[in-house]
Amino acid sequence: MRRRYSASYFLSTGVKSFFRNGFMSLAAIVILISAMLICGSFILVIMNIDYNIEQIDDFNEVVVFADLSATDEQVAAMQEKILQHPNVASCTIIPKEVSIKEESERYGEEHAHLFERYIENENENPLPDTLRIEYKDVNQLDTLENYLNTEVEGVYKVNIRKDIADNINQVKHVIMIICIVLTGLLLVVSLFIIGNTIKITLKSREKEITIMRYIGATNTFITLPFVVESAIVALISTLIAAFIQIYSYRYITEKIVAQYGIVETISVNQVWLYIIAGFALVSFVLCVFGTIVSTRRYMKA
Amino acid sequence: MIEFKNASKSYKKNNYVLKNLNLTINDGEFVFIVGHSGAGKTTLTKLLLREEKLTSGTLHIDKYKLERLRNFRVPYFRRQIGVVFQDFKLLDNKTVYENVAFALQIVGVPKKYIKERVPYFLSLVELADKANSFPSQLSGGEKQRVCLARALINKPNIIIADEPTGNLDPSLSYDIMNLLVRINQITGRTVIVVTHEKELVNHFNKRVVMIENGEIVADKSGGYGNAQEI
Repeated sequence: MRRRYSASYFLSTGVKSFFRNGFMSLAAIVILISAMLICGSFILVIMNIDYNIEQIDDFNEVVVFADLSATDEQVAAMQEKILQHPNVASCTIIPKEVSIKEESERYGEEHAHLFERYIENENENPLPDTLRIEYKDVNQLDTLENYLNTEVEGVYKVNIRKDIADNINQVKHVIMIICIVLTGLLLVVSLFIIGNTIKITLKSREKEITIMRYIGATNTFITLPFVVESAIVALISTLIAAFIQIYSYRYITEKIVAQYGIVETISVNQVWLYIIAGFALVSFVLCVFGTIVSTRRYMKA
Repeated sequence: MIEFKNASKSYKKNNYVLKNLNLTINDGEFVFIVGHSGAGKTTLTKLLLREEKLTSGTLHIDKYKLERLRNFRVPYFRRQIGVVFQDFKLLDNKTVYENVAFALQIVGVPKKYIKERVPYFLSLVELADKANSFPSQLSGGEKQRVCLARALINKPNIIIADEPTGNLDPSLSYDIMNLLVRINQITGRTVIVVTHEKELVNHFNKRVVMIENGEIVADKSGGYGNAQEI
């Protein structure tokens, strides 16, 4: 007689056990949903902050001042050279006549007379021609600065607001660290709670496990129904948590944020698949790992 | 065959529960292990079931060398042994049939064989009519007979009964013991009964191994007798 275990035994035992431990199963589901919603919401907030920071990046620019003696042709050649750099999104020439008018406007009408002679007589204008550069990636700013100073001829001075760029980078890093630490903490807490839930279930079935061990059940045979049971908990938790997360995110982004136009948000269409996949991965790993760790104590020979 | 050689067991350093035990039980024997509380009977049972490991010496049961048996092999070893407990250890939420079938299920026996074998073993212990009853609906003697059917159904080479009559009144105790003797005679399986009930042991006139303070103080056939004389 060939002995083999049937999958239906493990499935039916796991399902029966899930319903038999109704209250504990419910508690585990509620805890898992809470943990996933907290983690998920936090990650979505972080993603949106990051997204908005990227939008702010677009306003960052580098200003290059040409030599005072540079001709229009030389400035045009500088523009062409600058545009060859891969981190340059655009480069606009601001002629010195425009710059002096802007300065005059900035100081107001009462000081306009101070600028009159420079506006009327081009040769006396002390300002150089300017090139305003919009860059693509704030992290590649150092190489761009180096390129402007060494590869582009006719540069008098390069003005980079590095402090803004550095601050943006620092904020991003701090947010990332907070995200990783808090998510990690929440996952550890979730693992602990799920482990305890399984332990309580195991305690209530200690007699059954003892009998199984005496009769000659292998550890795999004893553990598998518990794994099935926790997989059911993981599945239900994932479905409910993903549903709540996706619909609450859609409501918040489409109804509230869009209505008041405070910040830009990532569309729900871009994130729903990641929410489901992330929740499924986290809940299944937590449940199965929690079950195996919790049952180990009962598995001694 | 069961063979203890210079077997000792201690839970604390230099505090031996079993000391230098030498004991051989041949295939098909019926043996009573007797002794007072704390004599070492429970530890001996635990060693036989490989619940505990020897501190020194050897213990061989058939082809298994228990002092060297690795943990993952233990379930397969235990399938060679049927155990009857004092507290029955029946699952309250399963019927008599399910409790007995459970022992086959967990070793991967196909459903077809389970359906054939369970009724046969229930009739062997005269419980065919109680197949659909739950343990709470049974008397102590009936519960112990379910336990016995469960111990027998995997066709083990050895039956170990740990205080099988401890929770039963005297008349039921004799019924259970008669059943064990009959199983030993009919099937030829080795039966080890751990007990402290002197009258019961004397009644059956079998080999008796007496343990005191972790040592064998008597090993004789023909019942308990007057142990002090040995």
